[in-house]
Amino acid sequence: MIQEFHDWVHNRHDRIEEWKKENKRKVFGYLCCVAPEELIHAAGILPVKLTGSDEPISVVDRHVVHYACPYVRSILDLAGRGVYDYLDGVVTCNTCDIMSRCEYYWRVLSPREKSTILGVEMSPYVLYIKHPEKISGKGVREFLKQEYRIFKQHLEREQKIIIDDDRLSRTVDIYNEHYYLMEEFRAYRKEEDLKVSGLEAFEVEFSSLLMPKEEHNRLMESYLGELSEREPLPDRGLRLLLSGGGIDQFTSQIYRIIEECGGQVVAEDIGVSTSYFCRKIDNTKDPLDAIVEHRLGVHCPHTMTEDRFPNERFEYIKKVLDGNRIQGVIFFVPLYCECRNLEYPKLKEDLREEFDVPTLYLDNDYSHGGLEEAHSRIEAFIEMISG
Amino acid sequence: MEDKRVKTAPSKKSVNTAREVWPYVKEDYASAHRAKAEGKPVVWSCAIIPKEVFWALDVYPVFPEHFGVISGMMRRGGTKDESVEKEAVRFSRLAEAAGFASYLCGYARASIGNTLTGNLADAPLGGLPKPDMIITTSFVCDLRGKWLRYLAQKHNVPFYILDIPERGCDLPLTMPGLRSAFLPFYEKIKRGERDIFFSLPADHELDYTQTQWEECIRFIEDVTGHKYNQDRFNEVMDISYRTNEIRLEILELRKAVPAPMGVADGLACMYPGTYTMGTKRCYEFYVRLRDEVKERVENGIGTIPNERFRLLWYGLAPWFNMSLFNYFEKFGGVFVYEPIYNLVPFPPRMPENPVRELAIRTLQQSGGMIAPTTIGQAVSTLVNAAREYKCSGIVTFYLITCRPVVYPTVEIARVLEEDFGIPAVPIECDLIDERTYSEAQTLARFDAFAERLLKMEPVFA
Repeated sequence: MIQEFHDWVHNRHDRIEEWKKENKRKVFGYLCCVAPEELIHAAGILPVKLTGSDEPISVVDRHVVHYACPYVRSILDLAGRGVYDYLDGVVTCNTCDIMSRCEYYWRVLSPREKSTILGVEMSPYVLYIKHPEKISGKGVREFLKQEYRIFKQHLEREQKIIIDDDRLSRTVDIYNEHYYLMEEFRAYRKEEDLKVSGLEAFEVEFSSLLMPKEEHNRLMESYLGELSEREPLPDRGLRLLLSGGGIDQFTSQIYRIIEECGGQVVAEDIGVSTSYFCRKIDNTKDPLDAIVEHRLGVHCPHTMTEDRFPNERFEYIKKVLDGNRIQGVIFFVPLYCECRNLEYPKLKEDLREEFDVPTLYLDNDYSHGGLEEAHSRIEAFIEMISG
Repeated sequence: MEDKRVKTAPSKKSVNTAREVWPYVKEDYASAHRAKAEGKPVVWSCAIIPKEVFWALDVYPVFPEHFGVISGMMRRGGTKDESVEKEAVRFSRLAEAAGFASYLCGYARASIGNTLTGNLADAPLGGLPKPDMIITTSFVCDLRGKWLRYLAQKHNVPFYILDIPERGCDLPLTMPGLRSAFLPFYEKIKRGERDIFFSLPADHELDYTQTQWEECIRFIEDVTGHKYNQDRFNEVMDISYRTNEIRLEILELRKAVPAPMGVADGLACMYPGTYTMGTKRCYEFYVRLRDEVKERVENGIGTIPNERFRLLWYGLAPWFNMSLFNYFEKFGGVFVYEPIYNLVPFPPRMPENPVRELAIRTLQQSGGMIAPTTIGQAVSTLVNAAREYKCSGIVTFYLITCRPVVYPTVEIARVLEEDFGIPAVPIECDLIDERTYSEAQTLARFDAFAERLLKMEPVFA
């Protein structure tokens, strides 16, 4: 079972293209976890998370400065090299300074002509959603709902269908099943006698962003059954929270490194996985309203709230840590990621004060060299905690 | 980061009115401290936020960004001794020791470092008075939200973020509520068309922005007990409108050959309009500036005697070494225009609903070069600027610590050179942290660039 998750993560292009061919369906890629993949799903399109690769950069330097997130640069390089040509659409949101510019970069690096009527593209190849930076307060929901209506209209024109409430509700049910299964899975990671390693957990969760949710749900049911019978890991390791970004099939090697050094990631705040699966969609509401509410619930480092004395990121991390009994925190932050770096000093203080846990800060430069360098620092960090 | 001292100097101004700016700044810092002592609420805010609500609600705004600028220009105790590092470097070291990365904006590191000293007053011009609240915005960059949130947490004061829909889209909005792509937008950029730049915001964006301003007013009312008065707000908005019309007139005058007012003057003269817009004092400053520039144009007085090539400047300023803006003068080169800090035309006054008017203006500005949130708009603006100001070269500020400024540099340079034959040269460093600056590399690039431009025919003669 785990091999299937692993395969989707590590052979994603082949698997997605195979799926597309077999099912004769379209595939849209999205850059950030706030993208409303439920709407894409309801349109009958497969939403997939875009990721980078460890291959050397070759075309992106002509358009994108070096002082930009190396993870996003890698994704854009793949776009420029045609690796993502199998996509039928790309969705980008303004979830950080580089993400909000990806509409331009993608169009320049991977241009695609779409049919027009009176010069207007009815369903552009690259779709941009303005996700509010402030996720609570007056007017926020109404604003995002209108953005989603525009987005939905483009999807409808792409597919020549109307996405009505029934379609949306069916999607909500599938996604809620997924969130329910992932919640059940998370419980295993809180156990003292761990049955699942951090790396395995990551691959299980991350694969759901690349494969059809229905298929992932089916696999999860069997997998959870297997897990209940499984013996605990022989070496549990030091319980750690991983907080960071730009973590995909390549940089998830950080999990392996942590495990080699005697640690075990039991919870994450990494823009995918646990920071994404904690909530369900309210199926008692108008489905579009419920999806809006669900997406506004993502507490990524870019978003802020209306709180006059804000500390929302720490409050969110406290929820993630509930029942996890962590002994340390590793920040693995993409180079030039201002949002994550700016919150780090305060989070470090708060974590020390409230949980009495030490932190380690590592730059994620999205390179093999960077990962190797991380090894010795993680080793020293774990030794320090273990005394 | 390398520990070194670099040779730096202020710029040489050509326009007399530009010399009024430093006393204007000093008076502002002094009056901020007087206001605080008299019990007037002090708000820490940022350059990009229109200031009119602050004046209308009688709160005194001060700016960590500008504090960064003076920290980059001055040494501790005001000494001119070059062996003493600039205050921005001292403060940045403290911020970096606390975990803030050296790739963050120098302004942010300087103000955070100053806060971490625990003694705000041990700083140039007595620093900023302690805030009673902090108001920032989401647009222009990610940093200003999180940076000012951290300062609010540290000073334990109420915080408000004005969320503005990011105009990240490079496509025009063709009708309310709908954003659609007209025929290949890139062709438009190549033609230098401006309609991308002035595309209208959609209804829901305007409604949201208006709500954000209304909530901002309510926040100030709650914190201070002061009450919003529409008549007073209209008075301030009126002054701003008139001031901007004068500033646009100056921009028109600056197109003249020879250039009557260069970028060194332009960047100095941004202060009143960026930080005190909506005050009578600011209006009067620009009237004097306009009159002087007009006189210079009428008398054919240029920034330098024999203008041989004209340069466009892209980006913010390396405040620690403004003499760079005079560097090309020995070759007959003059920096003629800098889009940054210069506002686009305001929407017409709407006295019956000035908050709506402010929302329209905020969204228009966020789509312009004052806040280059999109690559396409930035490129488009620079193409137009090169054409209108008859520039044959562009110097791009490869501002390694400012994502929104640095992102478009590659595309600006590429499109200008490939499509219009306008070469570009970068200068790579921070705004105020002189440790990031390499004089040898910069000047070698500038020398080669000047030689190249001298051999070229003017592109937009």
